[in-house]
Amino acid sequence: MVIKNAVLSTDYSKSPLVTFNLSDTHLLMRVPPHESTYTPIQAPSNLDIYAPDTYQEKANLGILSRNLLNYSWNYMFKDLPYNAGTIMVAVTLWKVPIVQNKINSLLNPSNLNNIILSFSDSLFRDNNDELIKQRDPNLDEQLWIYPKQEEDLHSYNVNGNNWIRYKDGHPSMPRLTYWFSNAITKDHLINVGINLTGFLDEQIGSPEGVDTLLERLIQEFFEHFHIQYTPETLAEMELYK
Amino acid sequence: MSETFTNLPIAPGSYLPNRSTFNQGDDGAFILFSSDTRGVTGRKIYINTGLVPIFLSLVNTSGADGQAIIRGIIQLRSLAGGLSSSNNLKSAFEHMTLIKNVQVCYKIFQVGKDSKSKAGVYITNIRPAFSNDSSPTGLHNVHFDSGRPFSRIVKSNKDFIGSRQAAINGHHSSVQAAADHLSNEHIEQAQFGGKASFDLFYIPTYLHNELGVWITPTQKTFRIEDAAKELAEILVNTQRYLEKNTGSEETLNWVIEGDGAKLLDKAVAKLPYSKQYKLYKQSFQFVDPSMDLTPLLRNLNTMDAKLHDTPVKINRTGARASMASISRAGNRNAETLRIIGALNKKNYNQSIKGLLDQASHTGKNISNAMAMMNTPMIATFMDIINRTRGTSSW
Repeated sequence: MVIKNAVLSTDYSKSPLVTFNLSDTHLLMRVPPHESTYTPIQAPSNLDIYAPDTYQEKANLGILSRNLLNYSWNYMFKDLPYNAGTIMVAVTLWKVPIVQNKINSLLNPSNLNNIILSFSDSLFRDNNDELIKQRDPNLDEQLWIYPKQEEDLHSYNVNGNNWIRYKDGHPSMPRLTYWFSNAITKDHLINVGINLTGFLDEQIGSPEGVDTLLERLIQEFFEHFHIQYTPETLAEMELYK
Repeated sequence: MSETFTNLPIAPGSYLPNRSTFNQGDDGAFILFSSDTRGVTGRKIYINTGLVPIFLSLVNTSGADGQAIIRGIIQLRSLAGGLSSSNNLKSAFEHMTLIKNVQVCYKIFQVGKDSKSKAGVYITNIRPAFSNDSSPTGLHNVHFDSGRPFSRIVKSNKDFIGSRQAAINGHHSSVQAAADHLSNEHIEQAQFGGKASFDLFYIPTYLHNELGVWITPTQKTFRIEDAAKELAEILVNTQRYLEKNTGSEETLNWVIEGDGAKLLDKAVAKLPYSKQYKLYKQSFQFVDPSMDLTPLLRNLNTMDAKLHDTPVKINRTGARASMASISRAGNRNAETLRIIGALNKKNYNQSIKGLLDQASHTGKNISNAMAMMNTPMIATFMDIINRTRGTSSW
């Protein structure tokens, strides 16, 4: 594997600590300063996840959603005078109506998988509009890449937290979006979206070099992301081990 | 004692960046960067006065990063052309160095017997240090889903716009950042609330930054002129589509952000004056325009294009650069007003008066500062910048 230009890691030890107390579930993460042109999002530190007015949007499947964080920062080449690429990280809280969706608890891994697959299906099938397709063949639903079966969902274990990981997006774009989901109660989950731009093959050295680099950058972020579950959640998690 | 600007030989025109490229100031004269760069220690550092608006938009002189950038430029006295700078492949005289969030492009000029130019470091461009951008140029469909923090984006194969809203972006690190920013800040909401889908003509950062030699082979395949041609075709095809498929009052609303105005200007200039090329089904709004809009508005007027009820919006960090561009247009602002009025058959004098009033204060300061260049006074680029301090907050 050829690496032409090394990319410097973010120094997370010097990044501010961001915390959220979600009704006694605690999220702790190191987040570098925002460096993009869009307005960053950071929700209040204390949120009552059982209060309806905590949520800003109602999404498909009756899911209520709240943006907790949306930040972006750049990565530098070690020896070149320009940025290697940019990361956008968004953390979202979901409250899932489990009865309506005929599941018992998101802490049950198979239930969590079902919700992710159902949500993705509902999202990407809504482009199946003949008029839209006539106007732009690229909008045909068949072209979208998204998790369609359990094999498309992968386990990602960092800091003792077991995330469900998958990708989605459109092949006309240079890179898919990475998603990571983690249930924090029987009907709440945390989604982390990661969008990576730049990190070009010809500058990094090879496609394999880029893949390895992106995995490293994602891993570094999650190594500085901690979830402290409530005792009730931890007890229920034991049931599904 | 300083040198007089009138007598200061500037670097030859060929040393200036290509005029057609983005993100350059108007051509100006080279003056000393600051009182610390007069050559008492190290090389003298000169900078083009046309870079005033760009410098204002990128460097917050009252912040720590801004001060670090200024210090970094001053350090070029001894470090210019060193190992940490990039050489331009077309010219060994050209260099680029990254200081915080800006790239500083410069040439090192040695004294020759027959040279009229003085030896020193000549800063020819300052531009945002954006990431390598792998996002493709051109038309994209942007769709929002509740519950998801990022928009869903598809590179479009269309040569026309069928949605009701469209945009051309300013400086952003990626198509994702551009789409999310425009949607959150400038695109009108959908009829029943929520974020509306829209079409985005995306200009990647490497086109904003085009100098043609620091970009990668992949990026070289698409250039500003190609982008302008593609946009011109979209404008014409969209007009035909809207004429056939929409009611008489319906228009497509364009939001043109920052340097997007420059691309639109280039695209409109490619359309010949003809009854065939009318744009009366398309309406335009400019956000933080980075150019004097008068020539573009004149062309849009010729093509019967419409303007949004708030034709120009100035926001946040774009403010000082936009104000500088607008104020430097000087008495052309009167013509801008007249054209804006003519475009929508309305008297926009009141609605845009606030904008020009705002520009006026900046304008006076910048005009005073610029006037310094024509007098044999002690003045540097930083004197000009400091004169504009506080004219529009960051």
